[in-house]
Amino acid sequence: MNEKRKINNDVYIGILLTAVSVFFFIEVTKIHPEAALFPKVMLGTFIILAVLLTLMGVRKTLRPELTLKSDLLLKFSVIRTPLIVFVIVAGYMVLLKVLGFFTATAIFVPAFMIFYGIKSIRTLLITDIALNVFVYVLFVRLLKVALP
Amino acid sequence: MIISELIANLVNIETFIGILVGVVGGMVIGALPGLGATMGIALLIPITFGMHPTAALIMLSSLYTAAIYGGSITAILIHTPGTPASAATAMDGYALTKQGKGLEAIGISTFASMTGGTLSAVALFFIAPPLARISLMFNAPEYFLIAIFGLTIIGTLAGDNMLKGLIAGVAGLCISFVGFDITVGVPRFTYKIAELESGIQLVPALIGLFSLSQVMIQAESIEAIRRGGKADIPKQLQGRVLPPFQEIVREIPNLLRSSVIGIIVGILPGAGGDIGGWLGYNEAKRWSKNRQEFGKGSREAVYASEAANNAVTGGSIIPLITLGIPGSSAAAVLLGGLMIQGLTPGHTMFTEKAGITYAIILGFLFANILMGLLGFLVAKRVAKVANVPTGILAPVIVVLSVVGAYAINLSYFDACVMVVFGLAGYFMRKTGFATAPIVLAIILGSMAEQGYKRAILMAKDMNIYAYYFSRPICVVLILLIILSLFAPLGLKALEKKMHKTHSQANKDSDD
Repeated sequence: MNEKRKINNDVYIGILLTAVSVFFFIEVTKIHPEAALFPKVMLGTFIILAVLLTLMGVRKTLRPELTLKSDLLLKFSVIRTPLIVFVIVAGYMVLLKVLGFFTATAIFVPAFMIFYGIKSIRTLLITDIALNVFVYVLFVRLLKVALP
Repeated sequence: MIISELIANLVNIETFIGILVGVVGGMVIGALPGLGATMGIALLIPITFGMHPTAALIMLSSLYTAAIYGGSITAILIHTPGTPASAATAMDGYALTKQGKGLEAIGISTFASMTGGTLSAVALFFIAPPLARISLMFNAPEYFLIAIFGLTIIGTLAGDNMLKGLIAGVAGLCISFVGFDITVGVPRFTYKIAELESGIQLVPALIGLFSLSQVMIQAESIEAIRRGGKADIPKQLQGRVLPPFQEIVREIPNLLRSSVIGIIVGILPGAGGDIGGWLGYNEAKRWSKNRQEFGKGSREAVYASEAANNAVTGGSIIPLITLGIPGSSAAAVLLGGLMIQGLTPGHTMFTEKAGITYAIILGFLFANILMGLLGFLVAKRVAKVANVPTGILAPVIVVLSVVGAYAINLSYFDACVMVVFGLAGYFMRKTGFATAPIVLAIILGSMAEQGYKRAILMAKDMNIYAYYFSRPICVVLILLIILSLFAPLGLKALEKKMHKTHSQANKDSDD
């Protein structure tokens, strides 16, 4: 009978956005008044919209039939792998700074492919070499981009 | 003078390579389920830095139209629309494939896409210049309202949540404030980080929002990817790829009607190729003598939906180059490409920059024709790209995203901005926020701010609201803003109606 009511994600998102927008609204008061004029208007609008989102979230919590498909997409079981992907990409960015573009890419590409389940050494090597050569020819030779 | 400049801009090897890369790249990206025109344009923008504006923009617009067409190849062969614009095509196109007429369906789709795209380029050529003249009457208050109008339009692309679309737009505006205020010369939200003083750069932001976030979305189904699930492309494709001449003649009214529908839908704010495709399909069914065939492999249906969805591309470029308002999210990213080349939408596009603009329009027209010709030759092979494992595509997209974000200013910081926006874009998509409004707001932010400030100065002692209402164009723009705020309700009703028709057609075919 006493089924626990699940709070709609919009409530958390709304509260988070309200907090962020209020923080920046306070920050903007420290800026030169003329430069702060437009940001103040927009951050004020942001606060109103964020509060509205929170209220809509509360409404959806009370009346679950109003819940939209897009309100149900965020689940840890679903976002776990994408977060790992993000961590790998972030690691690639660190490697890029330390080892330079081509060395870091030569390590990242096969590692990322193995993570996606590709095991063929031939595929790993061909993709890695082809991608590095492509970037070198297009960006370094043709577009004269000095990669790190 | 303009004609000689136009010819010089159009007839050169760089432009030709641009068209070819755009068309082939677009067909491939469109055929890959999950990747679409918007992401393709975002990935390609960094490559355009060193290019002539004409070649660059022809390449991007070619990719746009070719990606919409490419999406129909997988829709027809494996019932997986490469882009949402091909959803209507999937129904009858796949039914034709099941009847062993896959190649014929691809031929119909190729011819219809080529016709729709080419007619939309003709419309672009004739409608855009007079529309651009309207922008001559604009001043600061109008530019402010145009910026706001642009934001509300993208709000209509916010999926099922208008409020979240507006929040994304306002967030984008706030992001555009980061950096030095050009009127007063003080830093805003830079927190003593030197790289932030020139603001958040558009290209890294849009690559992150559209490309990296897509890689993260695809990673959700990693278990299926690891199992190496492949698209089941029919090995034996029978029939002739070129539609019979008599059939083409018979379908002319259908093709023209669907193309006009697509062009109008493209010009209208917020409605993209998917709605264009469905509307074309629906009208063809209404006018058809063989309605009962719709949903069961109707050739008329494929002609209609494909002509309409490709006609949307040229249509959505019309408000883009004349007023700076994109008609779709792909056009919003295209606007970024336009700005990066130092081109400002409006009347100057058809006066000072006429040699470039008309060359872009003609290049877009040629691209549509080339897309058709290439489609007849290689469409069957293009379908095979659907078999490229995500495990290969993902690292390629990540590396190109990083290089692209870095290349604009040779800045490692920009590459990091791309990664941060990738994460933000992923979470936005997982929580129902559209990513297109952020990009458009970053572009329109400074235009809105400058317009707002100058409008206050222009109003002098007059109340700012009274000042706005004293200007007729402002009143029209305010009405358009209100209209576009309520447009999603109409579009939603239209979409529901289309889906109802779709389900009914499916039900009928099952029966």
